[in-house]
Amino acid sequence: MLTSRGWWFLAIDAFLLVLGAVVLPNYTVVPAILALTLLAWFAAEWVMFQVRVNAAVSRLKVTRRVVQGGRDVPMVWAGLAFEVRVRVHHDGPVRVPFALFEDRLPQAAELVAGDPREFAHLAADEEARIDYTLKGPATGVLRFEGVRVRVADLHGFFYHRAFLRDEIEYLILPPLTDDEGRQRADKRFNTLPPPGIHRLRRPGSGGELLDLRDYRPGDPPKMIAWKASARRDRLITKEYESDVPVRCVLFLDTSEGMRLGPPGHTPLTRMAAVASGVAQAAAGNRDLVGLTTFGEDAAKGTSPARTKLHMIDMLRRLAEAAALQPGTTGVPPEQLTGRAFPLAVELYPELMTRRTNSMPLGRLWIPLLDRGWGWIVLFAFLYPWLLIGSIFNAPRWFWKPWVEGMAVVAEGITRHKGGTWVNFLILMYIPVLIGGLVWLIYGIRGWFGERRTQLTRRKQLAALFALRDGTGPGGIERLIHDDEAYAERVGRFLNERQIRVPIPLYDDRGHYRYRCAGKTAVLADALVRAVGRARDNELYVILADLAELGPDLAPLLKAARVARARHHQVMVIVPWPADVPPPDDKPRTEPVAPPDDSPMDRLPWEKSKKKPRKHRPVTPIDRTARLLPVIQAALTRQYHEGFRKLRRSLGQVGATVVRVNEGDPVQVVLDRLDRLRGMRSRR
Amino acid sequence: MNSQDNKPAKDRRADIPPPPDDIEVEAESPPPDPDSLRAMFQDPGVRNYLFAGLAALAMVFVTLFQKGVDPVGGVLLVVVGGAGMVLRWPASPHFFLLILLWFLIFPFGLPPPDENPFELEDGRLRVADILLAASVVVFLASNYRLIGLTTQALPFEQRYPAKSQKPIRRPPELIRPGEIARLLYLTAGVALAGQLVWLFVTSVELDDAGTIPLRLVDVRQRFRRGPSDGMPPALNRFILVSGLVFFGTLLARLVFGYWRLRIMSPAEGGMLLQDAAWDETRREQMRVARWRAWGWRRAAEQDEAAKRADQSERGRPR
Repeated sequence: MLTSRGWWFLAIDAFLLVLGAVVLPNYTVVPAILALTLLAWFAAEWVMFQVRVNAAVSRLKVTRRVVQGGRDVPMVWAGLAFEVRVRVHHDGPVRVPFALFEDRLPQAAELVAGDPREFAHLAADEEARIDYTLKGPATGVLRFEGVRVRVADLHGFFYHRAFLRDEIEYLILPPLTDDEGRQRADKRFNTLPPPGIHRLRRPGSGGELLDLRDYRPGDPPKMIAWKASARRDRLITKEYESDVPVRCVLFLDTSEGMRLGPPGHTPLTRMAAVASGVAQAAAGNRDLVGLTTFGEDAAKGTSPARTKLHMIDMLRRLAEAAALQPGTTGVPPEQLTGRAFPLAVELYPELMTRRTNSMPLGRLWIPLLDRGWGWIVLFAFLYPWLLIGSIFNAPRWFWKPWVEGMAVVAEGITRHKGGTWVNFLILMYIPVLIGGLVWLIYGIRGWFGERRTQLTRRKQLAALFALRDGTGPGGIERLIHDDEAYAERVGRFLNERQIRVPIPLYDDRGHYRYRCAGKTAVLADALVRAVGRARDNELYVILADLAELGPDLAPLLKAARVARARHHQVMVIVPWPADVPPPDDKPRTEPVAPPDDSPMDRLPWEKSKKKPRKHRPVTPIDRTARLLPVIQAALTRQYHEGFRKLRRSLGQVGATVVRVNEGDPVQVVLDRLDRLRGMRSRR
Repeated sequence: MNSQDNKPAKDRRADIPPPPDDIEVEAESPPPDPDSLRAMFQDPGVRNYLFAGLAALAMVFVTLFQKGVDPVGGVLLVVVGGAGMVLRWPASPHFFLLILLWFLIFPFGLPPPDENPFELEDGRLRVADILLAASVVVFLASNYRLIGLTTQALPFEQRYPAKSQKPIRRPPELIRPGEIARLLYLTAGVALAGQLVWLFVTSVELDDAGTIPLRLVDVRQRFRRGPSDGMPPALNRFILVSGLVFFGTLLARLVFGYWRLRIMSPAEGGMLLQDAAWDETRREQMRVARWRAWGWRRAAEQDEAAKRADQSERGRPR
């Protein structure tokens, strides 16, 4: 690709050459020779550049290592720095004299040290080294796309851009907890059973006496209570309590409403961190922990366990859940194209060029017959020819009235100007001319303006997706015509790369689009299923945004009642929006500034110290600015009310509701687990 | 035991006198601003290019002087070229070429030019011309490389870059030893190539009647009075130069185009084939897609109507 510097040089050299070779040789031949020499130099540089691009740049290879704690890791921990080591090399026969390699940083990472860029001149046996340190601030997925390559010649005439795709994803696991996760795994008080043990009032092999009963043949002799047998003069057998572990099942809400917010700071990320803290602390206590993720359509769960493998699997699932992005339904296609097209050009430069992904002018032409009135224009264009044809073939009644009528009009015009035949023909062919003009003007509008840009970009994106999905040429036109399919596909493309799109939160009727009322039924189902599988008193921790669901909570209330009836504990942790003050906070009593310093607002004896200002007309922006606090206060009130109702209705069925910003939710859950553990031992 | 040995380490450190102010600590001196003149002179690679460019300018001055051009023109060229290099003015090479053209046409700075009917014959493989062309190539190459090292080496990605976006320069560490020597070899080659092409253009004329449409120029014909029977020489040269450029570019494009096809990645090849298939079938595909979209829209409308009817049915009192 020629740069602007190259174009300028070429233009001036061409001017010199034409002037020197055509006009000036009778005066001096030096300009022509000079221009030819410069052209030869330019051509030599171009040939060398092309050879380097074809022989070396196209053979570039990239290798990547992610190192944490001195060794290669397949996943990283949130909050801990890790090193990325990228090596670029080629096996071509020529050297690249000047190249810039830039590793594309993942969206969900912070650069801590180093530089992801490296300038290099590369021969076959050399490699460019890019070393830098990153940190994943929150749980999620770290996606590396590859290395951006920019190559230029030493003079800046030519330029080539490429992208070495090296798509790889690393999970950012939730941070390892410190205090909660390192709880003592030995018995601290004699009144409590050892960690991980929960006494159940069913006969078993525990250490605490549960009951005495009559001896049954087959009971082991060592179970005979000799003193009691002697007192009652018959054989009595001792029964001991069961020792079972405490089980905790976490229900994590992954519905779309939880995914809103800036990347790494969504309610889902926060809840995943809470879930991870609870899981690790419980595992440190040798308790069994299970995880169920649920959305609006389905729930997916794992049974409680306490092995290391299970814990890693759970953390991985939490990381995957935290990386989920909101869907793009309802986002206008133009907005999606605006986000996706530059990204596609950056990541797939060779697939988005006009050479491989073209847009012919014929496709940009707007078809006239898409419109109903287009048929009228077509008729106007064709009817003289049809009329002439019908004179020879069609019955007389078909053409006679038209022709005679036109002849009468033509004669009428002839009285003022021209001949009758000329006027007749003009009358006949004016509609053809007008129809042709309308057709031309209507169709050619597609070649210019925003429509051309949008359609070209959409086609190129559609072709890229069709190639990746393997849907072929048919998929291209489908994505061009079907807005819903296009939005879904572009949304997937952007979500995979963790690019956020501004999403409309409210629908056309002003309803909140991310209320996700369907999730309560799914959650209730999952809860009942967990109760069905439960063995003893378990703790169910629901991490979900339920504050605004109101009457849609009914299935969940039923399920919670079932759980409580089986002596299980239910706890709900609600993510609190960052911009809503907690209900315990006092409302702000800031004095509202008077809207205008007009004399009407003052009492007659109060003198204004300020000079009277010129009255500025109130603009719609001012009105919006004044309305904004009112709307915000109303929304806050509404949310508080919703939360209060949720707490009351769940409290009535015996479930505890906690806010995330209310103390430490992890500690609250651990306390509850402790209570469960000691519940049966306090006599 | 010495009393000084009993002092804690912190106190002993306090006894060490501070270094005098007049000693410059090399490690602490800040690196020069890459935009400054000082930086250009400090780095040997950059300095070499600067000196190479200035030497080429001096050569241009001498050659022009030898060719009889007014020294004012030579001085002007040296000033414009030198200032452009030192001040990193990206447009200076273009102005340099235009000023050089002016003084080549008008050696004394003012029109009219001196007509020389033998210039075409005398101007073949003239040493002064070869030296001048080579000096200009060296100057331009040094100037452009210097711009890349000190101003901008890679173009901006955006058409309208943000003001805060810094241009990317070529780091001086990437200058390999022998770069200037290779430049001089290349310059010698292209200067010779320029002369040979000019020799070809002025020695050959088009022959539309021959099997090979070229023939050697009859020099006597050029000085004969009266209308010439062939094509005008200026038009002849123009067509020859255009033809050389056109066929040279065509040949290069064919070679590199074929090479690109050979090294094309599977994804690129797939996209090329898919695009060709789409281009051939797009009218049919478009019609099918439009009908499908229309069908879905109609089905959605019918669903909506059915839902509305259902709702009104439920709301009706029984």
